[in-house]
Amino acid sequence: MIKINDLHKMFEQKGKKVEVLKGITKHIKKGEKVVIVGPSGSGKSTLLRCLNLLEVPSSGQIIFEGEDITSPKCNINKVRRKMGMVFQKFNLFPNLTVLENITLAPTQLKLKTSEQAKKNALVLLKRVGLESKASAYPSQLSGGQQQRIAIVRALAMNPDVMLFDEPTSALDPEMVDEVLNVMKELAGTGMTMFVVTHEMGFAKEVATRILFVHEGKVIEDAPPEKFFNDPKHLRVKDFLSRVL
Amino acid sequence: MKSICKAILIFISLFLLFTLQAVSAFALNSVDKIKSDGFITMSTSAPFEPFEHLENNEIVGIDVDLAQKIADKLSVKLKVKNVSIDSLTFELKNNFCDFVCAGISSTPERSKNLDFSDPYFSASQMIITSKNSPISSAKDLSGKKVGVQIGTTSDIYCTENKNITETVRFNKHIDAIQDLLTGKVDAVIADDFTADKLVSSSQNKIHKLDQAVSKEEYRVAVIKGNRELLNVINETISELKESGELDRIITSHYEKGNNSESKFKEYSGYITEGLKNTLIMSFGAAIIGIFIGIIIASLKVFSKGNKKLKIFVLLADIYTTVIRGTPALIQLFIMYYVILGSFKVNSLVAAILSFGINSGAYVAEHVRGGIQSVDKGQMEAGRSLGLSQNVTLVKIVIPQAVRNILPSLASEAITLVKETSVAGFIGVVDLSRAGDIIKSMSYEALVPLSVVAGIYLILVVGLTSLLKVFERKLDR
Repeated sequence: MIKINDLHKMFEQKGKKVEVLKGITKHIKKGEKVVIVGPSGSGKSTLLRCLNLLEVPSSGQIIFEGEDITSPKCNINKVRRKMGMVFQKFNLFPNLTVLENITLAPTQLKLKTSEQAKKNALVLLKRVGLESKASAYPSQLSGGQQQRIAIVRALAMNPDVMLFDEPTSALDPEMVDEVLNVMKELAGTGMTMFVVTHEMGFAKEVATRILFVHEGKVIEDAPPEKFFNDPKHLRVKDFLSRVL
Repeated sequence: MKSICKAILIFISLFLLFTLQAVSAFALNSVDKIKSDGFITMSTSAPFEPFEHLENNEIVGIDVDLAQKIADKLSVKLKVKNVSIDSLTFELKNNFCDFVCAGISSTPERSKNLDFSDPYFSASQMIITSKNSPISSAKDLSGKKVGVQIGTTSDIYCTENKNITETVRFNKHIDAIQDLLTGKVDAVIADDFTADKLVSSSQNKIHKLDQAVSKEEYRVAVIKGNRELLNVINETISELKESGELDRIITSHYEKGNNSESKFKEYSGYITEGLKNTLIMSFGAAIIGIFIGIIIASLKVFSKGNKKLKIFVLLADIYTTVIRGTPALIQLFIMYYVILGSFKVNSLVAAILSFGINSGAYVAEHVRGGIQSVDKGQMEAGRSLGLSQNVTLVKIVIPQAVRNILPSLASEAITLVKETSVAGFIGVVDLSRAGDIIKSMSYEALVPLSVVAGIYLILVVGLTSLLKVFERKLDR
């Protein structure tokens, strides 16, 4: 479903060029739950953000459903409809109600009439237990509620892939579970997922594959049992000993 | 390199300005041209009672009647323009008008650029002093402090009279009288008609001396060399003198000037006119300012790294730097006298343009700050849903930016309303100008100025609460 070919990403920082991704090649199949872990600054968020071109790769290709989305001919707006994204800071639109947040894109892009979009939004809200908040504004909700709404907003586009960029890092500890539970439920439906996270419990339980990113390279790529019990790389062992 | 580019661009813009001005160098409006146009334009500077003043939003007076006779002589229509007194020569030089009738006399300075007709009125300069003052003739002025209205013939007289120790120049006669009453000046010199008004309005604490210090003769002015038109004017004047019509005109206006019943109507006419113009200028300038501001701000925020737009970004930078770095009054003068100097543009239009361009520079900075204050995650969230940059801007970023900048836009609007008060300098009768005019007509300062200040206050308070309501609507 997604092929990443020799992906490189350079940033310019204070006039110096820094290479954040140093050649990553991966092939992810439909239905896989890929959890990306690694120390901070290793490039895992950049890798995720390259997948829907929020960061434009410096070189290399990303092939999504057979289309090279890094090619200038590609209409990235069309591709992004199929890739939902959830951010660390939720990024709900504070000037719109919960319902408007969810229905904005489907109606703007004329994928649904406003009636259909509203109906669909209410169904999704019910799924995450926030039906009653439809007419609230984001500022009236807790962090956990906001993040669940953000997931619903992405799901309202009927995406083929969901990208999660540290979805629980900005939450108070008691709210982490309500978000993780929604994500677990989503995983159960067969959704293809990429999740950058520090929640090792979630990785153990949900992931079909764990990528360990270190200094711009994927140095470990294994299913959870092997990753947690028998990692081949010393750096991963060291990381696990500190976080577990 | 960048600074060199900037310098060159500034130089080019200045050069263009001067060329525009040079192009405006005139071609005379011949009598034939006037006849074929079907109208003749006269510039004057109201109020100067009873020669020109506003009545029911129309300029009337001795000068207007005389100008009408000149137009009648040519069998054409008369157009009257009201400008500030110091731009009368400019009007003629740039062919904005055909002749000037403004109760002016021939001075060596004016004669350099203008030709003058035979006199149609002789005004004398009179001394006003307090009743117990030792001053009884022009000789007694030596060693005294004398008050005059700036730029008038009495100003010139005092400046040239070496005996007078100090000439105190006031914007208006009435201000000079105030200082006379409090003893800050020893005497005031003004023309005969004005002197009578000033004395009668001050409850007889002061009086006018019988002896005139100088005689002055009012003449019609045309641009130097326009003999043809001058001959027509002289013929008209001599015909009017012979038939006694000129005397009748002058007497009727002097008598009307002494009748104060219609005054209140006239004053409120000025206030309404002034309020209307202040509102038109503020509103027009605000629209232009917001339009320019949004364009400049978007250019600055969204063209980063785009090489094609680099030159426009540079121009936008120069624009905001120059506009924010120079006084609005100077910009207004440049707009009216230089940039639009060669076009016959209404001074109100020039003021709207100038204030709009001025406001745009400030609005641009506010809008830019507002857009940048919206978290960039908002744009990313919109884009990640497949929305285009423009849709995300319009639906998500700009509404939030507007909310953020509303308070600073409100203060900009308030500044704008008050800033339009300098438009009087190019002859627009705005609210401040109206107050000033009424002050000089009524020889009374407190009431007209308080009324005007009150109206500004109401405007600003109204505007502020309106924006507060709007702000609350956006707050959720």
